Amino acid sequence: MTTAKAVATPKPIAAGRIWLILIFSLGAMAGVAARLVYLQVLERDTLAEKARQQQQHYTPPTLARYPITDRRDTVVALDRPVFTLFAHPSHFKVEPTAIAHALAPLLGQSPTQLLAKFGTYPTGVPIAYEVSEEVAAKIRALNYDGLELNQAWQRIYPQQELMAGIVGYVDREHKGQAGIEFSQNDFLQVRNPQPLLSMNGLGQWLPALAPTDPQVLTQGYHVRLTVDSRLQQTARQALRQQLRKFNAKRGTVLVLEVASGALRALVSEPSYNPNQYYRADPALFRNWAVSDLYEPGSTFKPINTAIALELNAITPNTVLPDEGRIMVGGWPIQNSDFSQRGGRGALTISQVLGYSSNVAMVHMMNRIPRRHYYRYLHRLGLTQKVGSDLPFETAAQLKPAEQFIHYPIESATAAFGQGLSLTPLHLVQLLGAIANGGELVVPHVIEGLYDENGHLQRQPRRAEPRRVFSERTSTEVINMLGEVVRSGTGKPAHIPGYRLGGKTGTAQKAVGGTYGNQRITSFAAVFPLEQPQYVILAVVDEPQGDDAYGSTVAIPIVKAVTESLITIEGIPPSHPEELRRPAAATSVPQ
Amino acid sequence: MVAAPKLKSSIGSLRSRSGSSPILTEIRPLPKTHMPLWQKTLVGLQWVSGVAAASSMVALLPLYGWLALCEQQWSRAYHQLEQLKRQERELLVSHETLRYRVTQQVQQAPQGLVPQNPQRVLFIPNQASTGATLPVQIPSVAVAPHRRVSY
Repeated sequence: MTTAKAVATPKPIAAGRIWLILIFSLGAMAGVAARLVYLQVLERDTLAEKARQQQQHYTPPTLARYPITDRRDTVVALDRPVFTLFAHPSHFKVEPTAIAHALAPLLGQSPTQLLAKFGTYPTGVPIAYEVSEEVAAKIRALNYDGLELNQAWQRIYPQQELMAGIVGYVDREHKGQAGIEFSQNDFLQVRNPQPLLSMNGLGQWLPALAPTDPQVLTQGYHVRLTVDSRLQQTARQALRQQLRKFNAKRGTVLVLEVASGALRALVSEPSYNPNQYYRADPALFRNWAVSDLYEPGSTFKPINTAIALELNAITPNTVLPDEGRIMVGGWPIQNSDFSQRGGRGALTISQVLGYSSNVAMVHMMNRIPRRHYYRYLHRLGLTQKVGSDLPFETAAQLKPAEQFIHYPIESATAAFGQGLSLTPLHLVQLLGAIANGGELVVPHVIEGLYDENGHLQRQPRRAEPRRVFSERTSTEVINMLGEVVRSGTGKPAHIPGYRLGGKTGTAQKAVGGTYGNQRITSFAAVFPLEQPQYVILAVVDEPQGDDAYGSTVAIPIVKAVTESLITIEGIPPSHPEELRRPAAATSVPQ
Repeated sequence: MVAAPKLKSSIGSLRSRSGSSPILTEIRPLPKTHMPLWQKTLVGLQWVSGVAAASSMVALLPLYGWLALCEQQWSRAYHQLEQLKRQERELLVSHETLRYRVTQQVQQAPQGLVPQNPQRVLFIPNQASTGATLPVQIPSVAVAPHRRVSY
């Protein structure tokens, strides 16, 4: 064996080559560093924006408007996302027959129908409208190309005609057109957007941006009304019964809580189904209790009495003459029962209200200078709107000041509630002012925006109550109203064990400038008499028949509503001894 | 200094076959560098941080896996929440529609149901306010089947 070659000492690499390699690698590193600086520093904002756009999305909304509930959280109006399914047959990657067969059971259409639809146009074929969320989720799960689901909103009114006069309806663009959907359109729009969450490539939500409190993710906000749907139901039933019995044109029932001005019931008949507003008579979209004026007749007498007491024209012990028929400024004025009873002679104020004597009322209001009377009516707000949250309000109408002050007949007719007109809502506000001790409150139906735990979040703005009568005057008038039910025209309204006050009204309707045969009957009650909490007003327009008076037509409605109030609110009897007497439920105790 | 051990070299062993004496190559260990204290500390720190880096890299992997698992679970739970909310909406709508329908039906045909009215309500006086212990019993009125039900 030859000796191993000596290990050749490696030739030193040319120094130049090492330098070249070094420079090359340094250059590469510099290039990478430069790219890094470019991306991280110069393009930072645009790249971050791109990433954000790709990753972060708003979760799909489940509400466009807040749901509306009644006082006891019974749902009255609720949004529902509905989808319209479009097909783009030119984008189908699978056989159309397979798609048709997959969709047929979900949509309730036959595969042949669907295939026919697929054949009409290459894109944008509407397949199904108002597809529910569940079905839409199933269609999405099929994951077929060429199917598109567009979201729209549908508002559901489960109570149908019951609350239509209050809530109204929304049109196809989801904008309110009647009721509080119209007047509170902005209040009802959902304000806080859905939470912004990040999504991964598979379309799954990630917790990176999610709020730590899961309650934030649930949208429990709802608008609560002051209306109680049980009371509304009873009132509507009682009203419809009387409308049918007397073949009347229309009617309304209002229940006002006098302390706050909250409306516990507001029924107008006839009504409509807001789910199918397109089938309804458009005249019904204005709630006539809020929009239509009528001459109140005798139900305005308590207000006139309060004015007279407040201006010290009379005291509760004043006695007024009732001749039965008098002439004022060349015009005859008589009591409604003049032909049967004639004049009654001297009457106390309570008796004036009890017998509902027009002539005595004229004498009463005659004691006040006409301009003071007019000014007080003005101060009561009789030429302005009530200012509630319901739409299409009409302000009350009085004769012009000069006419009222100059001609005595005007104030005379105003004394018994004719010659001026107001809406039932306005009348209930004025009676409420008497019932609650003299403060004019604003009637309203919306209590506020509440969260799911019942905490108030927002309230619509309301005017402050203002004083229009003194407490003493209110108490005196309330006592007189109690007398009306005890011994006057309001006797049928008595409920055993309880005391309420009220006033009947039977007014002739003015048609074309003259008074015709048609009447408008009403009854207003104040309950409970000792400490009034509620004013209940029932007005029935054009009841037919010779026995159609406020006492026969309207009192049964108010009595049914008051009884319902007793059971719903649990108001105990103020005179329980009346109930211990056996079989004496119909007689009025002395 | 210890004398360097003398070892036989492999080259030397080849040569030994020819019979000459083995060539011993002196192998000297590398001189121990004497480090000042600061240098020793730095080296020690480097060793510690190296261990820490390696162990945290090793520990990072299961942690990252746990994070991904949590995200997946959250995502699934959120999906379930959405489904439940959808079901709740559907139930609410059907519940309210059913309530309305039942009310309508009962109004048409009461089937023995009676409306609430004050004659059928019991008010029991509060024991503390009044001395009376007798409840106020309102005599029940016979059921009139044609009466409509109030809800």
